Amino acid sequence: MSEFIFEGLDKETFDHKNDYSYQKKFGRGLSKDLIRQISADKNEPEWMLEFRLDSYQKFLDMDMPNWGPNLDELNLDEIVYYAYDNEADKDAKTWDDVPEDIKNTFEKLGIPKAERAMLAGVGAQYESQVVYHSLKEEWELQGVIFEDCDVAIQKHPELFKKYFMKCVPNTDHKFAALHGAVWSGGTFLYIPNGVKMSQPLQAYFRMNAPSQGQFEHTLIIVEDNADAHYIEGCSAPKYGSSALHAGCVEVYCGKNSRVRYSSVENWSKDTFNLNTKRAIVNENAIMEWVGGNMGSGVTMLYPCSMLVGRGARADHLGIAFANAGQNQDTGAKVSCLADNTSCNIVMKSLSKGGGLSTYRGHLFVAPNLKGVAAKVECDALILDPISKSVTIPKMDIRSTDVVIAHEASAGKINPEDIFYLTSRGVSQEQAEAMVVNGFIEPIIKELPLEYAVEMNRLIELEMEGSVG
Amino acid sequence: MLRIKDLEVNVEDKKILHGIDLEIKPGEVHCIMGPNGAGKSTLVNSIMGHPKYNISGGSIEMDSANILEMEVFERACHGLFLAFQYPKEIEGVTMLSFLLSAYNAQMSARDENFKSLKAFKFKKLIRPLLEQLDIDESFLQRYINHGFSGGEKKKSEVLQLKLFQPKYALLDETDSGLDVDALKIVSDGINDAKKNEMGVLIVTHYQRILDYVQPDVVHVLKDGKIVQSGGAEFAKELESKGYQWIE
Amino acid sequence: MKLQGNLKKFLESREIDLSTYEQVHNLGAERVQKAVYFVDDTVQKLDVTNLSCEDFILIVSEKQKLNLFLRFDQLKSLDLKAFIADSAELNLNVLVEQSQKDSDLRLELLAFEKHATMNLNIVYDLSNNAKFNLGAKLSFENSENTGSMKINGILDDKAFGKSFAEIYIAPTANLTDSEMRQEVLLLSDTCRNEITPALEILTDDVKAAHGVSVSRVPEDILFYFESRGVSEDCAKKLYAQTLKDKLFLVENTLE
Repeated sequence: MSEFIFEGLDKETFDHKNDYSYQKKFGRGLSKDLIRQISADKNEPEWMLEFRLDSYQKFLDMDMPNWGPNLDELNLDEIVYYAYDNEADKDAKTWDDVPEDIKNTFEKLGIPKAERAMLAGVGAQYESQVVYHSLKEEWELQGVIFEDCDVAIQKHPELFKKYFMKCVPNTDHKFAALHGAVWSGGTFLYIPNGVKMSQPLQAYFRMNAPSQGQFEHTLIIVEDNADAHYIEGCSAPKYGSSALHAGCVEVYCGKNSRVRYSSVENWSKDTFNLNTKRAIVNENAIMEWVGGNMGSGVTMLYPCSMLVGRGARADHLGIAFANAGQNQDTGAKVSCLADNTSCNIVMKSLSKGGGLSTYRGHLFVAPNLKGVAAKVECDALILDPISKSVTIPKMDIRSTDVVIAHEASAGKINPEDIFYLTSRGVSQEQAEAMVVNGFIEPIIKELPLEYAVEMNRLIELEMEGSVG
Repeated sequence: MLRIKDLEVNVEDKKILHGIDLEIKPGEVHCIMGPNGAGKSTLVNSIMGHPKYNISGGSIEMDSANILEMEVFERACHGLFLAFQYPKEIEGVTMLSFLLSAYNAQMSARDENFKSLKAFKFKKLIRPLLEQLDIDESFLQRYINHGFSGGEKKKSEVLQLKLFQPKYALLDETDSGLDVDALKIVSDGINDAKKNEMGVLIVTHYQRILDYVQPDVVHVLKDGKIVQSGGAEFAKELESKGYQWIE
Repeated sequence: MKLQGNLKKFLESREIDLSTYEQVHNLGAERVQKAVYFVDDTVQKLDVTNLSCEDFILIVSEKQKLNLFLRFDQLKSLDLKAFIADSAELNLNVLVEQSQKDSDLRLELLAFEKHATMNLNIVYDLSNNAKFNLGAKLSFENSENTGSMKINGILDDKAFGKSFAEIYIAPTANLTDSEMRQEVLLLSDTCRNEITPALEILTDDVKAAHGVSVSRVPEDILFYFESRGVSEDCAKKLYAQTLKDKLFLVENTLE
């Protein structure tokens, strides 16, 4: 087994903060002026400024969602929507070019090692700008574009404009509109026709200052017959005031393509994680969402796959862990809009210390379709008597040539299993950890190695209760 | 010595064992037989500490240490082993990671200088045991007892017996559901372990295993009490006459 | 009407004022809008067709048992709530066969003490342009209760079946043993079906599972029927009948 990259990591490592004085110049709350400032700073084309302003108006007009977790604690006027550190070099190509304290943050999180290990390139985001970026030459030669979005809009304007917020339009919901107004940074990944990436690409975001809103936009375009695997991981240290994460991920899967999006989201306890992730899946393409969701005070996250092409397929594999004071409202949305589409959803959720873990699913099968198959499995492990689990999978089926199966179960760790394990000498805690590991294993084994390790480590920390 | 004195055990409100006395010396093989419902499984499971069983009276000492004050895993680390009648299937956890953790836990408890083994060394250690029991190495990558046939489950329990080398082993109907070959392998495993001065308590319904494993004492458990004990000849009598004649 | 303290609490939580309900003794015979029926040991089994009331409360007292069969082919709207006391048992079997119009059925079975058993079996058979809206809930508000919910739907022609079926386990309801199974059979190319099977579990030491399957009549089964001379239409109806029969087997064993 290769070196455990995250060995020696503990919760304190994630809670490491840098000086955030740069943030003071932008203030809190949202206004047209701030939006103009953002657009000007980034030197954006006119159409983008117009789009931002249009989104801002829609944001003001739309209501907060009237379902799901309580968002009363979220004070939109107190969030800092944009921060830019002049000290940092934009788009450093190698690690040496990156400013020292920012480097430290990433060193602690093991990014450079990950780059040395088998990955093609790493883009890491610090606050609202992408600091470090490197891409191996061979991919560049093949026409693969791996940039931060702020750069992509300048370098590849036609491509960017063609796809940006078409999959998730700014009319979708209030936080999509907000995102459209203040988005900053994020990854732009373009894989041309026929190119199959053999190594995964990853980025690592980080929120640092208090009440920092993260609005990164990830736009992934995989053309016909191409393959890509993209990994995203997030973290933020703990702070008193609420931080907001309203990012957006749009994925376009060309015909016969195969795209996997893996993410480990571990925002801090005060964060509101209201991310929107959606993929459009064309003919015979396969979209795989593999995710681990820990941290954040309130999460509303429902990766969505629109199966628009014949034979399109989506796999959703996810783990959610709700600890004390957390409300993890996650799930999967799949719309079958063509013949022979299929999906497979496996969701495992855990709740502990009074946390609430909710699975909200929406399966839609359009009328007059043939050969649609869907399989959903959602299991919940409730780790003590005060924790809760809710499962609400909705299935709206308007065709009849379908095979739909759904299974769900909820309950606690079986004491017989614990007795068996402890009778072999492992302690009670170890035995519980083993059972929990076994429970999430079907998802973990689909994550790339170092993320699998990180997920396991995070779950261990949550189980130990060493979380503040 | 494993000394059980006047043991009384309840399940919920029902009393199952009404004062059991048993002494097993290192190297001795005791056999408990009796009709269904007599309390045989209850006895071995309560010694190990199954949460379902309530000890309402009596004591259990293992080499002068009071077992009843110990947690289940502490009893295991002190050298007690239970081969389950229905070994648990725990999906998602491999046999390798499970056995490795348990092995390290138990050996560390016995010797403070013991250095925990990594997977590679452990595999080397367990390989000869797998061969002896005719178990393929792929077994280590399978989930705990998951998808194992009845015979495979029993062999898995005997493998653990050989691996942990406990001082006292409780075998709960280890022979049931086995064909002759499997039975021979299991019995050889028990006899080998016995050579290391291990005390063995076999719970069984059938006399068959006693052809392979020579018991020192045979007890009959009926309605929660040991009603009669005797040597190997007594076992033969039981086989031909059944339990009815005992009172 | 004498009510135990615990029951009062739950009636209040559901905003039910029993004084506005008329107590009925002969279910089915009396035509009453809002009815309440107390189960005692004089009646063990009841079979009612087209129950006429719209708002119905059923109270199964301590240690009582009732097997209730409700059959509808002219259902408009019914809201039924059953409260099951200590060690009582309610087996509620509902058959809805509709071929037109809209109908609405809300059922809630609530165990408010311990050691109760509640089994809810529903079969709905919809044809033409019938529209059926079903809300079914098993509420476990105390510990050590057992319950199951089985829903089988058969949809033909342009029918539309919508169901929201929920198992709710309160924080005080440990050692609950519950299960839900739903099967929907689609017989035509134009029917439509929306199901949401929900679980809301607020404590840990429980058993709660649900399973749903939606499909047409399997091709190989159709083929088998047809190879024996049975037309496709007929084959579908025969197969659908087996779903209904499975559920109502219990009825035959009680004859």
